[in-house]
Amino acid sequence: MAGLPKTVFLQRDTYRRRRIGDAIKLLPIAGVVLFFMPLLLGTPEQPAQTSSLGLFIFFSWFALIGMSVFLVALFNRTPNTPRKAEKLSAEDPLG
Amino acid sequence: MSFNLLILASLGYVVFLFIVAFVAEDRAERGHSGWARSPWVYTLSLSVYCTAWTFYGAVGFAARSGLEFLTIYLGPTLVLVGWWWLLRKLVQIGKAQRITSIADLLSSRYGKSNLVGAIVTVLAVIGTTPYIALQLQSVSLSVAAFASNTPLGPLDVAKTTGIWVAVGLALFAILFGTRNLDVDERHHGVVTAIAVEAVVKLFALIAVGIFVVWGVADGAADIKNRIDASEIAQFNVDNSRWIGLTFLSAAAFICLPRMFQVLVVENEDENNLSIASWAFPLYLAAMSLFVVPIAVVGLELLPEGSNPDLFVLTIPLTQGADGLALLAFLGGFSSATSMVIVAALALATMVSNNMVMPLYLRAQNIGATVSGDVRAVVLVSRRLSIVAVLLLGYIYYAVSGGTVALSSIGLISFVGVAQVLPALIGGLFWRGGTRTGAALGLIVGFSIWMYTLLLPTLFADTNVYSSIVGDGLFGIEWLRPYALFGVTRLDPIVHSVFWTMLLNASAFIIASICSFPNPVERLQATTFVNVFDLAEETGGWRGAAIEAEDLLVMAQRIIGGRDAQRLFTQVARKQGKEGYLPDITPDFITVLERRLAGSVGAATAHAMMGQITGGSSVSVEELMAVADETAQMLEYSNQLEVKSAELERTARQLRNANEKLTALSVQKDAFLSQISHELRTPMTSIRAFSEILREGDVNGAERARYADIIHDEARRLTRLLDDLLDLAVLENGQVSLNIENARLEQLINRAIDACVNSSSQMHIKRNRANEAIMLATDPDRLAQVFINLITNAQKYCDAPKAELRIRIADLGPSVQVDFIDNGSGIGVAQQAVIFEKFSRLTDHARAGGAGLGLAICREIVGKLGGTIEYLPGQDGAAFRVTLAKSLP
Repeated sequence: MAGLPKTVFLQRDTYRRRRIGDAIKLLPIAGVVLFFMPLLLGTPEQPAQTSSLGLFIFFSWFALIGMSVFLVALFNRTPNTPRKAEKLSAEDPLG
Repeated sequence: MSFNLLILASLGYVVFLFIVAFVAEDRAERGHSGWARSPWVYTLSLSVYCTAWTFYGAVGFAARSGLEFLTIYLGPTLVLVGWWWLLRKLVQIGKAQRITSIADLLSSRYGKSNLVGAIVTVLAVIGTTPYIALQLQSVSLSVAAFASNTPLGPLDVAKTTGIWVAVGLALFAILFGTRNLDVDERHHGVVTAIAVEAVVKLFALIAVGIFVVWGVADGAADIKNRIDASEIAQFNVDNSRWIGLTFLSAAAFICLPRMFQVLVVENEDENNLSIASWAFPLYLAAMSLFVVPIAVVGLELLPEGSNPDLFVLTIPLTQGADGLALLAFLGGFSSATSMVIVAALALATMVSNNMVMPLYLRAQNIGATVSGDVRAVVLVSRRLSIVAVLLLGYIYYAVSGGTVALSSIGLISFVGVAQVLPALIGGLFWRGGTRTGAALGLIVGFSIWMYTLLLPTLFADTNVYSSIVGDGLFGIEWLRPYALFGVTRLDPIVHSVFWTMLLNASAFIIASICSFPNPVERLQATTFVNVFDLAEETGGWRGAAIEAEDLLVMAQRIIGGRDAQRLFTQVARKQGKEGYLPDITPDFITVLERRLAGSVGAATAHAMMGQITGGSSVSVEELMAVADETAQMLEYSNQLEVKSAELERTARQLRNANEKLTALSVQKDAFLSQISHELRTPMTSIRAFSEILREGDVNGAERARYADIIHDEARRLTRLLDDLLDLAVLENGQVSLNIENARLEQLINRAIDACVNSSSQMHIKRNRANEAIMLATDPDRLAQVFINLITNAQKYCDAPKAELRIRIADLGPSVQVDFIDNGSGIGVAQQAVIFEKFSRLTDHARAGGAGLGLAICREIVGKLGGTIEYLPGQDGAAFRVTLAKSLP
């Protein structure tokens, strides 16, 4: 339904969540750059070493996982929708 | 290590898995599926990606081509860390549409098309069968590796193992995969068992890795030296292979039927995906951490020519670490079995839902009566499908005899299932993708894959095919399977990926653009592409269980109120219930949908049946109805909005009108009281003096004075009445204007001459140069306005040296005439009312008028097409008359 009105201004939390989503979207792009980096290294006469490139790839791999952990934690910590947040606080007066 | 121990351990492990699955299933049934739904179990279940090919084959791959094996893990890593792009949407759609398999997804997206579903199913079966064979082969090979000292030869052992493994797996899959027809197609027992297997294989591989690095070699530094000294020391990776294989593994990760099963179908909570987005890459990294060390040490230790695919097993065996070898065997066994179970389950669902059931239903429709529980048929067909799939795998294994290297079959299979990708991505993000496009793309991709990859590999030894590979089909050189259109620089796998993806996607796009989708396709396209928007709109509905009332509403819409109600009452009475709403049973839905077919045609009913066989009770028509309803509600609410805006506008207008009327009424009252007052004052004095005169005892001088007073008062009355008349005429619009051209200067002269007499001390300042403006106006009326303004200034200006400035501003089409005195001006509160009738600023005596002057001025100027207003902030009272130079 293309005609659905889209909200222009969002609640702060919703906005934050979307931007974290954007950051998560960037991760695979960063991953592509890192994982294809080995192709750019070494020369035909002196190819890169398996051992050092292996270390590089695993390092990139863990860095990517770390970023993902961080962003997902950030994402899950940001309240989902204001409506839900209201509902929660209504149910639990202490929260 | 004794062979019997191995068999005993394996059997024990299998029993353990059955118990795990049984307990999980039992708990889920009793509603305690808490931990089975946890993100960790979900993440571990994704490890069906890591098959025996990964467990054993990755080391072989690394031993052959170094780091290149990593591409198989990097692709899925990219897909998972980028879950926001694709997986999130896929899972959302899977939930919203109750998708049961990847074939179901495409079939549902492309208008519930059985054709697309069937093509995907065939593709999946052909692509997966060799892969299942591969798993059987790997288990057999690994058993054979232990069997060197048994009375049976390794080959016999392998064959027997293959059969028993296939039978055991079929049993497991049937037992826990088709126990009942779940509404949501989730299999807690299977998923939990797979999660346990995932732990076992990771643990086993890491244990072997640690043994190799710290047991056989001398720690990490030593391993690095050994790698540098080995034959895979250099990173000799072909660029196209690195990129192509990464892409391929990413595509396969999404498209493999078994991956789709665990990733989407078994997903219970979207949140699980966010955890898996990093946890599964971590799992993959851990799985691949020790692959190169194991490969290098294996190449070093084991004799030339030993199978690198079995290094994981043979290194511990040759080093005498029997326990570790057993663990490694169980790891490989886990990898193989979990893959086969899920793949068989996924394929069986596809085969039964997209091929068997449509055919069965069609056959039943032709017959006069349809009776019985469709669910029973579905279960039977699924069970038979599982058996058939495993049988097919076994036959393939038995026939091919394990000739092809593990990794090559794995990649070939990947390319096959990746053919689904264009239709999948296109279906998720492009509303324009149509059934024709999807079917054509799939067929094109599938055919090219068969021609360029599968057939050359399978029939490489036959004369016919080797000649085709060498010289091309019919001797046409640019049709050579490994060098299509003369592309010779790519390795066969990447070559096939390149051409299949390119031509598949092109066929999909072009055919989609050229064809026109039917309504269901368009509806589905919208629901898929905009799944997040729609979930917000109708979120509560789809998640909820289907209600009899919803069905009644839908049925009434299709077959009419009376018929639908009669049908529902009948069914309810049969079930022993009162009223219109029976329980929703498969029988009832069958009856209802057969009835619907009579009204809306078999095609729709067919699609509805397809939905039931898909395990979901939401039918096309209902989706249509929901979409329809949503659209209607949207339209209705839009209309309401428009209407309410209109009402608001009308109400505002009415409010304004009311305010005006109230004000007018107040004004009228005030006017009446004012006018009586104004009339009464002179009348009173006239009466009083005329009475004195009548009595007669006044002298001549007094008489003359009284007569003067009477005369003056009478004149004042006349003037007042004149003014009133004038105003009434003006207000009623009955005035006739005498329009001629006049010079502004002359008009002002005339006005000044009329007002300024010897008694006046007011000094008038003008700039005559500005006054040379011709106006088309009524000169007499306009002069009257000016006179009034000048007279007012004379009356009210309280400055010791009174002064009036007449300022002219030529604005082109109009002209402004300002009358500004140097008195104290008019207070803000009074500014608002000075143009009203009878508004007088101070005392009556001084004014000497009835307070109608400015009201008349306003009417006249209005009639002349101009405005008169009070001009604040001018150091005195100031009035601005704006006049058009020519009347409209």
